[in-house]
Amino acid sequence: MKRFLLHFMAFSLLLLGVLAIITWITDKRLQAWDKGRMRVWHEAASGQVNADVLILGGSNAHVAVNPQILDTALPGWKAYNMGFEGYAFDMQLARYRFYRQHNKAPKLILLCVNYFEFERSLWNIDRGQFLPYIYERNVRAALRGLGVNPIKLAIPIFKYLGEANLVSAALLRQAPLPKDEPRLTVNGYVPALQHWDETEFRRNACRPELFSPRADSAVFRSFLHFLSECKEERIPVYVVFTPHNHRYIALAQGATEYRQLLKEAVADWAPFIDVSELPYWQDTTFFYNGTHLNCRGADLFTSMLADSLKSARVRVK
Amino acid sequence: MLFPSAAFAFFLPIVFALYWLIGGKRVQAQNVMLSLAGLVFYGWWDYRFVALLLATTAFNYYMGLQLGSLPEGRNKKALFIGNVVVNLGALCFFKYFNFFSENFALLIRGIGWRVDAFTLELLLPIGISFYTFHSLSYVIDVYHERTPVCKDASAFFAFISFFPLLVAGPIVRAKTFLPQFEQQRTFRDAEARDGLRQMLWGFFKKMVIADSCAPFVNQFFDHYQTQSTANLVAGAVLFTFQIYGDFSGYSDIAIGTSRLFGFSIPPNFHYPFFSRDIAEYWRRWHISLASWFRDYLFTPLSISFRYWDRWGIALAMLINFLLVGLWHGASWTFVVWGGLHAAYFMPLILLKRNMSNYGVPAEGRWLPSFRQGLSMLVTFALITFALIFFRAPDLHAAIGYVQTLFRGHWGGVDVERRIWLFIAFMLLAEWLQRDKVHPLQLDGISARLMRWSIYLVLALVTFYFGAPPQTFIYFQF
Repeated sequence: MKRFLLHFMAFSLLLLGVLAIITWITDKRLQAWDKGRMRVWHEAASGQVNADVLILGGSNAHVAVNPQILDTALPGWKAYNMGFEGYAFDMQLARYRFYRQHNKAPKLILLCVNYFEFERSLWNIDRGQFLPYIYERNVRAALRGLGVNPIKLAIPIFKYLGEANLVSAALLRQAPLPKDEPRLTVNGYVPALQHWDETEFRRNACRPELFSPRADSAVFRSFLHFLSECKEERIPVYVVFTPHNHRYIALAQGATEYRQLLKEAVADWAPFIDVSELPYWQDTTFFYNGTHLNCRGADLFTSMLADSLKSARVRVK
Repeated sequence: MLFPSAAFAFFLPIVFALYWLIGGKRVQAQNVMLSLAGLVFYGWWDYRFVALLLATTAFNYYMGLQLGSLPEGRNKKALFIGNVVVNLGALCFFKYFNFFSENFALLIRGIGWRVDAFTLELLLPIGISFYTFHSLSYVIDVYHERTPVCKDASAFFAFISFFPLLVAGPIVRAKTFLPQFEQQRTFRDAEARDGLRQMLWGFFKKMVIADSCAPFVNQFFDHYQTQSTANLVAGAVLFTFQIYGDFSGYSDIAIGTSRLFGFSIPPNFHYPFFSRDIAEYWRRWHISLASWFRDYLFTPLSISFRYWDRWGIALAMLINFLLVGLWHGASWTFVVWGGLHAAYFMPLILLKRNMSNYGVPAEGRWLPSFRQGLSMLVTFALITFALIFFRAPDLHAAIGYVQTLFRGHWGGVDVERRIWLFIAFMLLAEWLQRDKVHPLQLDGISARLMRWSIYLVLALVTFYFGAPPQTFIYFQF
């Protein structure tokens, strides 16, 4: 028995040691990576952002708001896009809090929302981007509710359990995230260069779940709570409904009612900017799919936003 | 509690330490410890089922004592039949009630009467088929005096609720396994170390092979209407490896765990993909179930039908496989799966060729002969085809899958390449070690550093390439 236990412990220690080394190297390399979607985390963690105008939201925000246009329109202010592709408000809030741990408070927040902003996030999209930060208080708290393997959240060397692609990419110094496109990233913004894909739109039109706006009550409550927090901190927030193509809106169930309800819900906390009804958004050349603007649409939309903010900025002061 | 889970990673060392701290000489105390561990392990899923497990165990323990005390005669036989009826009745109630009710209503409607099926919202107790068969094996063996009556309640409770085998087998026999609970267990260093190696191989098969195949199999079977032929072929092949990795992986972990506690259990799988015909396949696949049915159903039936010569054996075979299918679940898909295996088996019985392939394939050679290789491929294709029915949610979907398979366009295969690489690695390791109990018995490598490096790499591969743990497929049975 003694020999068995000694051998078992020796092997376990060897295994744990190798796992610890691999985890340490992977963490360091991923945290240092300043490309693709890792870049936003990297810049937020290193306190390099300190934005005056912070754009929050999901993938819609990520591709719809060009910070360079805002920088020009609001001289002296730095805008930064923290749109979180693939994740809803629960994870966006966790990343915002993570950002605030390392950066000063913004002077203005543009909180971009859409029809799926308030559902619960799914733990399956590019999760590698925040695995190095999984033990940050706010990130871990948010991940607990998303069905993340509890071992990963409990034991540091287990955080890359089942993440062979990510670990090998980090160890071999390849692109850190599978499928991450080598696009130019400026102040968090990634311009979408794609054009409208009619085939994909028609295929998606057969999937009713993509056209059924929904919300999780707990996530929505945390959204309202966040608005009240910002008000207490005297950080002005603009809730911005990002444009959707009108063909999408025509198919979406209760789209207009959803926006109206949202406008009423936030009325006490923040101005609501909604340009959804403008005729520009009938034009598919501004979109790459029904719910996301391409770079052409983003420039147009950001210019509209900038015009609104120019006057608003005076009020903020 | 799943084997690849944090809970089990804490549970096993605690039980192991307590078990051996009690000491091999205090057998009854160890048995009580094992019984409690079994109840915790079982109750982890749903504590409500613990009562059923306790009731089944107590009932069979009492019946065993009664059977042992009665002389040969009508009373003993009646008690025995009553016991079998109660055991099978509980199994049928939980597992087959709705199936028979719905099909009975369908039959009645077929003759023009309007009836609605009476169904119950029943939650199937996990592993009920396995522990019912453990109990039945004991009662049958006691009745036929193949095993003595167990008077030690702690041994009997530990036998039924032994946690490594509780929810998905292997189905061990009372005759060989129960006496191990009545004897003093000694810790054998070599056995325990080999048990750990077997567990490691089991985790690799479960987490890297089975759980990686699962998403693709689910996608291809759930949306077979829109898949290319190549994807449907890949789906069927991957499911064959998924269920093998899943169930043989579970069996290896269960057997390896048992060896840590000083118990010896025969293998449940023995490289089934190297079978040269379907008869050999059933000597290598789910051996404990196949031998249970062979001993308690097929052999008695063959004796009953002996006047019909080979046709009698063929009929016994057909009944045997249909019931093996039904044992897996209350669905016609399992019956068809069993029927297909009976159909594959039938020519071998009628031509008296069912014992022609025995022993290690291509023994002493690196590669099989062309004929052997071809036989293995044909056998693999047959079992893969039958497994389409096993996996499909219902008969309609299974037929649809097969029709689309033959009518669709070939197209490309949308499966990650690394899954094929891991399957190839598993097959290669099993082929090279096909004369061993499991492929990690690396006695031929004398350098410890080399052996440990292999274990380490396999553990790291399992750790990083293992997909998120999924419930073992056989838990539902």
